[in-house]
Amino acid sequence: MKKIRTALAFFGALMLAAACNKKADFDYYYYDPEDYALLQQYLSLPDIPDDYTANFPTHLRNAGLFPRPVERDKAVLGRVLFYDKSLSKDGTVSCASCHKQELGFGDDVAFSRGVFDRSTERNSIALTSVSNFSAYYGTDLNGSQAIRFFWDNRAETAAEQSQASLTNPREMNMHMDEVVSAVQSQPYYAPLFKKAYGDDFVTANRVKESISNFVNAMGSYQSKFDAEAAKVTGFSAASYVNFAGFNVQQNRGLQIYQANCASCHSPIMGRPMLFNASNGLDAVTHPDDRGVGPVTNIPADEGTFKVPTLRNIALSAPYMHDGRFQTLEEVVDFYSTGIQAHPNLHSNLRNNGQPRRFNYSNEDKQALIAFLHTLTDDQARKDQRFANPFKR
Amino acid sequence: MIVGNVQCSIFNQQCSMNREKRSLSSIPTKILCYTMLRLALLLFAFVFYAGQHACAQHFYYAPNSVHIPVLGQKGDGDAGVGMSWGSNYFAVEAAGVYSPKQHWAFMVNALTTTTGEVRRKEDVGTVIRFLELGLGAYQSFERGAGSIFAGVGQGNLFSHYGGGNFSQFTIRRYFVQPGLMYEDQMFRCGLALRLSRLSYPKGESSFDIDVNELNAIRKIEADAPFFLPELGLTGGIVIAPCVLAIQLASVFPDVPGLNFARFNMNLTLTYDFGLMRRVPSKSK
Repeated sequence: MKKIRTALAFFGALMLAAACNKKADFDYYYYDPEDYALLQQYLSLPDIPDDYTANFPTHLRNAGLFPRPVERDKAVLGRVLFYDKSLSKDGTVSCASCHKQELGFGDDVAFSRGVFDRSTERNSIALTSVSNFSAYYGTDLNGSQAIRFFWDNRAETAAEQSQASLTNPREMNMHMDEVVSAVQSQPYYAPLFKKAYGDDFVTANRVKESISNFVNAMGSYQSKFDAEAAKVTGFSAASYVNFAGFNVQQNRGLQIYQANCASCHSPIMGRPMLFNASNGLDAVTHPDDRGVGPVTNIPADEGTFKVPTLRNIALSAPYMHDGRFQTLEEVVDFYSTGIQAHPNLHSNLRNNGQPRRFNYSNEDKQALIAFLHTLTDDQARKDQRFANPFKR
Repeated sequence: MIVGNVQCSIFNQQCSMNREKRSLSSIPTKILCYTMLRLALLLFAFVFYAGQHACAQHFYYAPNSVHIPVLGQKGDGDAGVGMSWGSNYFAVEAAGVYSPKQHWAFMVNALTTTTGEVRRKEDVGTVIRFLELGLGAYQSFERGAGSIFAGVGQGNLFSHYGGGNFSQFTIRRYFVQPGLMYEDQMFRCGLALRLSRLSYPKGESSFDIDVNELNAIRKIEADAPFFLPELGLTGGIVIAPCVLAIQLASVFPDVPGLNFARFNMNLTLTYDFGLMRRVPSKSK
């Protein structure tokens, strides 16, 4: 009897120990411990790199949008480069100085300040939805369907765009050789290059490619508009009206938008319907800023500018290529009654050859503005994957 | 041997050994003996072939052999060593059981197995070290014995993926193992069902490894502990006072996505303390 009791006690203890349902909790290592310790001295980077894959909702995929593949390690490196002020001539400016995450990677002044407090020449264009249209960047892939960077569409790719900003005398004012030297001089880059490229050899092309990976990962697809658009089952633009999750004012604004604005800016906030256009800001082309004209040397492009996406538009005041409008109210007022008879004014903004007058009522204006606020993606502006990684 | 990593060893025994003691003089018995020898050689060939051709680079669990002893009385026990090897793996198992009191026994089992050339730090493969202790009860029959053991084992599993990337886990397994063995003067076979609870109390892994390996590790982290029924089969020839047996342990059902080795087959040579006492009497 004693033996049986002993045996039962043994089995009981064993069962009790076995029943202790401790879940596994593993540690993962991505960087060499010494490398990560070095990175931690300067940067707040997760020990496991973030995944920069964008998961577009169905309505965007249906519209032919899909994110360009992003290489995680290169995006992480690109993130550091994007925020690194040592890549500018006077060490005061980084890409992020003019492209602030909380502002949809745009800026809140008409002209951002570059090195030596120099004024840039155009309003900083918001980058927050580059990923949305990344499949269309680069003429080699998309031919006539390609989307370009800058207000004058002069850069084909994010890499080209980054080089233009790094070397612009009013922005970062570096030569690419100086950029390479600056990168080589910072100890935290060696581990990041090793992960991204297998060695720590720094080249201008690698710098551009990494920034390009980071910028191409900037996506905006979690706005209130997207949440409602994702519920739409139809494929036609006419289906994107009267969203259940919108209030009356927002739906009225949506209706006005679809009727009057979508033909340029896209009914579903996909890629803009036009690459560039004159919206009649002025009656004549400003001689100091002829827009796309000097880039293409096509007369019809004189005085035209990129047609931007309106995603996160509420974050990126002031508006237009020269930041002339401080608020969305001013923008709507302009489109209501202020369009000028520029020679290249787009036909969408003409009525019998004359500048169109939408003559919005105050209620219409407020409704349109209320709708434009539904395009703000708060997730994107707070996403830590895109935040400043520097501790200093 | 692990995952189709089968095991083999030198087999040069002859059935004529201990002929008088085991009363093998009759013609039918001789025929049976040679048949058994052929069967054993065939199994040896299979084990060797499988070992050469089927082997995973990395795995995150491998069942050790299910040790099913034949015990008759106080003082009985056995001690054995099993081995398997192939082009890409090597495994050694040691097992022992002892009955300090009638109907009661304890057992110790150990496993070490290596795939690839991970013994050299820069190479790729997996190493497992595992030790378990069990306590149980047995009842002898006219030709064999029934037993039930329960216990706990713990070990370490280290995988190297190249480029300095590795994973390392502590594995712990609680088990209850009822089993049956048949034994006569020439032959021994048996089966057992090992009901295991497998957990991973600690683990660490490089993140920059093959995505399938990483997915397996993350699935283990998410899903552990696992309750695994494992089947143990053994069959061998008696060469008193030893037994040369092939042992097969199999995890069933399959556990996909975890990179578990499902099979372990090895060739084991066991010294049985009680065999010389039991076999003559049973052969009458």
